[in-house]
Amino acid sequence: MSKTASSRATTRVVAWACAAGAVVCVAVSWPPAARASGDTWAPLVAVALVLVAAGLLTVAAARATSDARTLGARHDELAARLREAEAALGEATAALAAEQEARADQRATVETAVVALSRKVQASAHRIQEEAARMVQRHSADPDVLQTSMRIDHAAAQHARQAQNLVALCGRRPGQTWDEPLALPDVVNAAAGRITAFQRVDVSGDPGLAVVGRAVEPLVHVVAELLANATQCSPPSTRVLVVVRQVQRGAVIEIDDGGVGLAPSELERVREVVSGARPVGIADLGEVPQTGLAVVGTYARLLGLRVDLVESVYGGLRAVVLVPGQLTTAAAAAPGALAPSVDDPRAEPVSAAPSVVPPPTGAGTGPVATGPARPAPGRAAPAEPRPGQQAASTPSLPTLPQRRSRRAPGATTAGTPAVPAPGIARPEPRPPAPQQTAEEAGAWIGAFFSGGDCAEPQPDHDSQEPSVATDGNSEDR
Amino acid sequence: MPVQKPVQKPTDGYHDHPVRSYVLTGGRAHPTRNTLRPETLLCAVDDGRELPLGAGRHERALLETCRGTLSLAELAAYLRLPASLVAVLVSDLIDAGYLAVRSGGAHDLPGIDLLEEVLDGLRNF
Repeated sequence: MSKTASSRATTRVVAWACAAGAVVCVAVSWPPAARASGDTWAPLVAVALVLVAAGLLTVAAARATSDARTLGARHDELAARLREAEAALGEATAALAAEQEARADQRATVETAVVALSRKVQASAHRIQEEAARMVQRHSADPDVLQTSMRIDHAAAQHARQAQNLVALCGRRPGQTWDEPLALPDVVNAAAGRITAFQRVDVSGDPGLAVVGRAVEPLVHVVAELLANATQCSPPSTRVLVVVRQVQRGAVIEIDDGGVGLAPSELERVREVVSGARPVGIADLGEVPQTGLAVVGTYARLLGLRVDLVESVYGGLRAVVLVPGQLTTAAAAAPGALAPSVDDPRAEPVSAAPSVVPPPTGAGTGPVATGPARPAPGRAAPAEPRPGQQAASTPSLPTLPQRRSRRAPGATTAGTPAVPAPGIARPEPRPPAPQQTAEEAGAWIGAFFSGGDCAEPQPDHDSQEPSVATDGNSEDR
Repeated sequence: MPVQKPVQKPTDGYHDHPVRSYVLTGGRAHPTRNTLRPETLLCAVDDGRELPLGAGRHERALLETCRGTLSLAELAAYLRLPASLVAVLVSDLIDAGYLAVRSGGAHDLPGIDLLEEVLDGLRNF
């Protein structure tokens, strides 16, 4: 500002100096001839003109100076206001950050609460399922009770799935866990059990491929949500085809529905969601929450699954789930269990928790019924090892009534499990403790009723008793 | 973090399984025949026919277990499943010709006269 003022003053000085210089010049250089001629008005006019010009310049300079002063004042004022605004902005930014932090905290708190509540709901649904299974066990010959139990079980399974959806939308892992690997077709069956229209699901494909225990629950849930979507989006009379196949990089589950598909833009959006590329949390659901595909995306991220939706050749959608190779394993030759089960309360469990399932299919090479050292493949695998049982079983062993295998003792060494239960002796030292397999029992009773004509699969050669769960029954005989 | 099942006592004998029983039977709780009783004897039909590829693991397990003659109740006990559920699965296998019902009426109950004689004999013992 002061610089501007001094430049204005300089302009004025220069203007006056120019005027004075011009006057002097005119006076000095006026030719004497002209002076002599008497034309004295010309220089005067010139001087007057110069003076007028100088005056005008002075006025203009003065006006410019006052303008500059006004501008300077405004400039100062604006600068002050800018500083104020900057300060206010800084405060607001800090407040916003604090607010965001508080909101994130609040959201985390809400999510934790939602997870806790959902898990309670899920646990109660599982409790209902357990009670239904017990009811069937108590009235095990009554098909009507079984029917009721199935309905209750089915309703509770869907209930549990919805609760687990909420947990997944909060980015948490499922609360339920399974220790044992599960064959992929059984994964699809398990998933079908959690949707309303489970009867419309047709599964086919490789039964020899399984998924490792830690991935079972999330994968079952992912497939359940995709199946739910497929059954809801296709006519109720159509079937949903599921194919399981092994591929170089793991395993693939393909789910085809016969619906009408999706518009390209919508399909694009949905693909982003299911692949996990666009995370959808519980706060992003909106007023008409569509949780299923968001849950698929969450678990796809957590597990490293590749999930995609493409147009199906049937006109509907095809959901493809690629299970990476590190999550797959070979399926056990014999299913450890078929369905939820309840031990007979009168039969105390004797063996340790089953850890190794002897393959029952290898006729002639398999193990023989040798006593409780054998894990029981027919029993459902418990979710956790049950040390209490194991400890209790060991001391009581010598007093247990045992049945003798009818095979030669030498044949019994063939296929003992790789991991015998700790504390349980080899069967040979207990000759008077015979134990019968399902097959032997069958052969015996068949021979009893029909004079031996049905005793085809005699123990000597064939050998393999399949799913045997003799340990639990041995005590009350 | 994983919340386990509610109050599951270690000895209460319940074993959960991801595959539910109604999926195994397609939702049916009643067998296709009403002649299956817990004491009905079952025997696998050994005609060299393999189960179709699409057969479920439960069907295979049932057939494996039933290689000898077993009563339905025993089969259920070995598989640790309720007898009513096994009856549904077994009836399907019988319908498909993989399992046969043994005995049927083969072991006729002894006449009431004989039973009375035995009873008298026991009483005289």
